[in-house]
Amino acid sequence: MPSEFALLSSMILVATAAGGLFAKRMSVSLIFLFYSSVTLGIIFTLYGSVLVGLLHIITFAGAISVMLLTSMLMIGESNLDIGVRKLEGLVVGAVAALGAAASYIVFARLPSSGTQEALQPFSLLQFIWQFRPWDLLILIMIFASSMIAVANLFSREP
Amino acid sequence: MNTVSFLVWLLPLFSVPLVPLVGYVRESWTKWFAVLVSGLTALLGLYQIQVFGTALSESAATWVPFLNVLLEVKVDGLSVILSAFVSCLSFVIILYSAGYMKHDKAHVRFYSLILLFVGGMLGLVMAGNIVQLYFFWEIVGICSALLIAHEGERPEARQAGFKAFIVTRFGDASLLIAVILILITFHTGSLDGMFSSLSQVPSATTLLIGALILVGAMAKSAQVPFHVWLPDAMEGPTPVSALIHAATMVNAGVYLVARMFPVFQTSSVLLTAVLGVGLASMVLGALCASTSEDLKKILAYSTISQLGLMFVGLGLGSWSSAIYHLISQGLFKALAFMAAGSVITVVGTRDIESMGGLRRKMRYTYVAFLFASLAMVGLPPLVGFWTKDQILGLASGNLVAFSLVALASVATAFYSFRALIKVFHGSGGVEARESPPVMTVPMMLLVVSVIGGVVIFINQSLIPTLSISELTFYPVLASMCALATGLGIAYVAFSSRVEATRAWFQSSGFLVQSRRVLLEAFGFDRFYIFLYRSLFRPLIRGLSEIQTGVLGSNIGLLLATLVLLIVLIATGVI
Amino acid sequence: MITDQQIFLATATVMVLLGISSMVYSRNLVKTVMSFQVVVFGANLALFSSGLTTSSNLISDSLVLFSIVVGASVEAVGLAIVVTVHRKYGTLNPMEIRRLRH
Repeated sequence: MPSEFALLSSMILVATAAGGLFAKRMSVSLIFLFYSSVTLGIIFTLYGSVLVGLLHIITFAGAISVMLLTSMLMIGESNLDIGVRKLEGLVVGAVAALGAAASYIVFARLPSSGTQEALQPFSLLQFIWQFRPWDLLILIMIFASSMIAVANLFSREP
Repeated sequence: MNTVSFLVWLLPLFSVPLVPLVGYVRESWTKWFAVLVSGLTALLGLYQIQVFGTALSESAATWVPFLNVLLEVKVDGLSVILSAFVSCLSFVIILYSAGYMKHDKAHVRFYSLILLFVGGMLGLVMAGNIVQLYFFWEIVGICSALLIAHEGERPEARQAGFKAFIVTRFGDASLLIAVILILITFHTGSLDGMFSSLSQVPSATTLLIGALILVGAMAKSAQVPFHVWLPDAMEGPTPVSALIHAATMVNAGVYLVARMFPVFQTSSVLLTAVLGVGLASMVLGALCASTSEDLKKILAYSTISQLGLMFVGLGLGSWSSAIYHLISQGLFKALAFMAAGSVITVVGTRDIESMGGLRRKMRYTYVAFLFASLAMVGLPPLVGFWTKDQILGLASGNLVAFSLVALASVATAFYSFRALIKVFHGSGGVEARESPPVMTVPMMLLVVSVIGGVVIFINQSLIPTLSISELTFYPVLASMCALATGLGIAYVAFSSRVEATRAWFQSSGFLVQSRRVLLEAFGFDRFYIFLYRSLFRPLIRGLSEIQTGVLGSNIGLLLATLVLLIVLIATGVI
Repeated sequence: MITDQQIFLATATVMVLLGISSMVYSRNLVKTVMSFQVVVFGANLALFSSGLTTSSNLISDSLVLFSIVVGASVEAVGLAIVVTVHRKYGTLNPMEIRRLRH
């Protein structure tokens, strides 16, 4: 039985990635991609490998996002308007849906093999007790900053 | 342990990297180093013959374990006699080239390629499995192309080398498919293993393998329709023409068919095809040589013709007769090329119309060319007579083959005497002096071997011997008549003593027309260029439209392939 | 019966295809780099999920680390190229930059 967390996080991942690619303004696109990398980092962390998760967040949500932001600043405002036409968006969506469907077909055909201990949501978060307070602090800082970014995103300048 | 059989081809191969080292010390020492190495190889080849009687055992070393391919050496009569022939002839020609290439600047490149070629050819001849044979086949092909293009500053030489490589590539591709088929069918590349299980394989497979091998041999041995590279290959230096394109590499095709003869014997269709190819090449080569004005091109077409005769021998069912003619043709053709090279260096041009009367000024060269021509037309007791007439005798059962071979013999006599008369006889005012001894001594060596070469064929037990008693009367009579006819026509047409008929020959309408056709070699080159322009160029233009230069479209193609792959996996095809 | 690993593999496939198809139609080179980043996400997820069925994820972890580093450096170089292209050609639309064709 698949863990709900896996399904949920995967959907958030795909949704944010698609949002990042279909967005009409570059800055919005950048924020969506930031959230996509944070989600992927969470997936990595909670499924057993904290090191990879943290490094992923540091690299992508940290360095790469800053790099993209810098290059956008260098290029200038006028060039930053991008968008996806209807037809192209449909094609992209169709290809992605094809990928999902094909995976489903292939996996449904496979004999159910191997046992995997179902990760209970409770045990997923057990690492918090095993962390050093310093690492926990960094994690809290990352989440806090992202919440601030979300709040900023949904507020308009008067 | 079978050291000699491995050493005979490993020695030249391993000496190739040493040539630049020697050249670094002093450039002029490279040629003597090459002479030394080829001399040692010749000694090894001859020693191998001597030791052969005491049953050298076969040994093998692992080479490509994945494909179950071993580095094997097949030591039997055919490979031993051919390796001795190749190594000795290479030694003579390399000695000749030490004098010929005196003014050349790129000694290191030339001699390293020549040594690589000698090693490759010997490895080809002694190869014990088909993969090894193919490996050395490719080595020999690339060395030939690079040596043709030796004088890289001349665009004709570069283009000729390129042309040789491309045309023989078709044969190489065909041979590669044959090798793969052999590996799949017989599960081993070893020649012995192949021949022992030949009868259990369906005949359609052996027919296909034989046909592919035949195409490969045709391209390498310059048979119709793959002969177009050999006349242009004369742009290379004369030692290259003598060694590679007369005596050794072009014989690789004949050797391949002879080695694979059990495959060819399973089907009479294949043998008929071999016979047909040989007859066509023989006639075409002889006719085109009759009108060519370039001395080396005459010899090139003559080589095509003689190789055709070898294929005729193979097609008539006797591989030993083809191998004998291979040896004798190698001897007299190398001799002819060496004499031609000597003439060309002294006179400065390859055009025979501007030569004449060299008989008195270059005596040794004249003797050499005279004996080469006499051997080629089959005058007894020179070496060419025995081998050519044996094939003629084999053809006596087949009317078409016999008449075509006789016709080609007339033409052979005609063009050889034409060349002889135009270059050496008559009165010419060309300034000439004899070549240095380092060039004339090898020529004289070959003259001796051409005169007395028949002892090779009789006094040995390596391959089925050429029995003199088999030479029946009528084929010999026919060949002598052909010789006389050709000589007569050439004398009448070109010798300066008979003015009236000579003028008639120059101006006869039919002859002028046919000369135009023959100078173009029946238009094969034009046909191939036409094929390229009409078939390939539109295809190339059409395909290049796919690359639009837009990033999106290129990635779109990638995406389309990926989607196709996913769909195929999902629906279960893959 | 679909396990977690298979869910992640399916998402990884979707991410990769999303990224590549978005690269086809992008009208801005920076968006091309962003879609490349999405592809890298998918690849890393696939690599990571291959280690979920075994108890020790050492090999898959190290492979993911490799992939992260390589992906980050490719993106960095890609952005450098984008900035230079903008400086040289004035436009960022890949459909207008076709100098290599003619």
